[in-house]
Amino acid sequence: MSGHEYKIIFTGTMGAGKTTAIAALSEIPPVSTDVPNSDLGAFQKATTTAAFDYGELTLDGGNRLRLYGTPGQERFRFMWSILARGALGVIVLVDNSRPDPLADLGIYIDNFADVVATGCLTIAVGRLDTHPDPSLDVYYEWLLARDLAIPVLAADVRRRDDVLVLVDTLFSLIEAKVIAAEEADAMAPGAAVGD
Amino acid sequence: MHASLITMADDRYNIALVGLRYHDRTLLRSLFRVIDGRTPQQWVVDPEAPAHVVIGDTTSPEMQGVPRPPKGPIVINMAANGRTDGADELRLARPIRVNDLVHVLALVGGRLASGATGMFRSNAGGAAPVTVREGELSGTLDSVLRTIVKRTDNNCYRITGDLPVLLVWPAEGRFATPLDNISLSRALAGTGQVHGEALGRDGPGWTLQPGSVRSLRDLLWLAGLHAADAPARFPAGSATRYRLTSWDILLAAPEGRSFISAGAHLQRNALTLDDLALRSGLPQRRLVALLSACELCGCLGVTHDASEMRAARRAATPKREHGVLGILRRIRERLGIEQS
Repeated sequence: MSGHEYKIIFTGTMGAGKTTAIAALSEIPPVSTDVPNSDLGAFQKATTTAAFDYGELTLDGGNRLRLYGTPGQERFRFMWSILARGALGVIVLVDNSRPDPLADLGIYIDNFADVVATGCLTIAVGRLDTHPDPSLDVYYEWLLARDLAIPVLAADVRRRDDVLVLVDTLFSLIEAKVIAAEEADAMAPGAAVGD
Repeated sequence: MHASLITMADDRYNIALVGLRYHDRTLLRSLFRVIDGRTPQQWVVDPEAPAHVVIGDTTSPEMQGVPRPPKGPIVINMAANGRTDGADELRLARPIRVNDLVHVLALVGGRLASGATGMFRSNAGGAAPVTVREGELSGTLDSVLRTIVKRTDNNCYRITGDLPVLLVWPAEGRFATPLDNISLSRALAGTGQVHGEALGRDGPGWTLQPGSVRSLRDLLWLAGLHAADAPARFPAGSATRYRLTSWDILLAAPEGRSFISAGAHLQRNALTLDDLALRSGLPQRRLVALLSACELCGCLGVTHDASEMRAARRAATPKREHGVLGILRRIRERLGIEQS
């Protein structure tokens, strides 16, 4: 296999740290399509991403990992599913300093329902140090109430190690999915048994 | 607090949350927003307004002052110990599930529509009192921990925030609590109650770095990892299959990070111990510790389905060098991520 492209998506509300997370992984400076923030009432940030952030990592054999950050403002929601199409997985960044971070999470869980169904989604909660409520326990119970078992991690995306743990967790979910699919194929009628 | 008769004027009802743990309250507030539109009525939590409905732990002291219908509000019981107010009692079980909540609120809606009922005004209460006897604590988990703070601050433990987080700084770097006893830990996980000797300093313990912060569930997790009877409870070759039902402790405990890959496999499919070892590449000894810890923390589902086990035994060894698996391995290498 050569020259294949893979992508993972970072999504979350405005200011949750999508651009920062991509910068921690990308071998090129993230390409950001920032514009003046027209929603200063909701978030004190001079600029925000209008289309998407982009970073990349080249691999041997011409393969490439593309890193996309979705626009945070809900009025760009139509782009989320477009960007997520064909993605390996999605990392949702939740800003715990916002008024109702669980409601924020609900928006992303609903809008990325197709990805949620594949099991390749990880949730990162930021600013827990300064805004400990709701706690991770509450997030897990919120997910359990919806019959969802999704990994939730506390993460400060300014720390590269935190971003790497998020990626490691997402990759583990993807690997489990791929292996389960391979084994299902191997067990299908007519398939050869074992290697 | 007072009770008074009212007549329903519209379909918007106020709910009081009484005698519940902090995160039950937070979760319920969020779920009322989630279910908005799924019941004919609208439910709100406004502590300043009289409540038509009380959701509470009927065994808690705060609930003792809540009158019952017809003078009082409709009560939904969330007590964990199975004690009931009678055959007509409305209950909501933990863990709270959206469908259960919608169902019980539908029943409440029917009762509210059927006639007059009372209301309840709460003066936001503090933590439940703790029963303290010589060398023993008894009460809800939160209240026991709060008491531990008062009794031992600057000595051995301190609680931070609303979570049961213990800061451990014994001079000798040694840790000892009621959780040293694994059977006690298991009882604690099941009931949310603490009964037993408190703050025993001489029992067996885990050696922790002075100053390390560990949550109560971390300690349960550690107890599971070190459970002496784990190999007997999770034997190799068994048809029993396991599934991860929640990631919380696996990602919260420092020792859990090395099990992320195994956790991902356990989340996707219910697996036998042998299948899990095959997929994760981890030795069975470590996986037994993982299953034991997850069980103790209440995040392990167990099924016994021999037919699926037979099917799984035919599974091929993962081909990690090809396709997406190979790509992910190379990305990990590029980023310096060690396979978990």
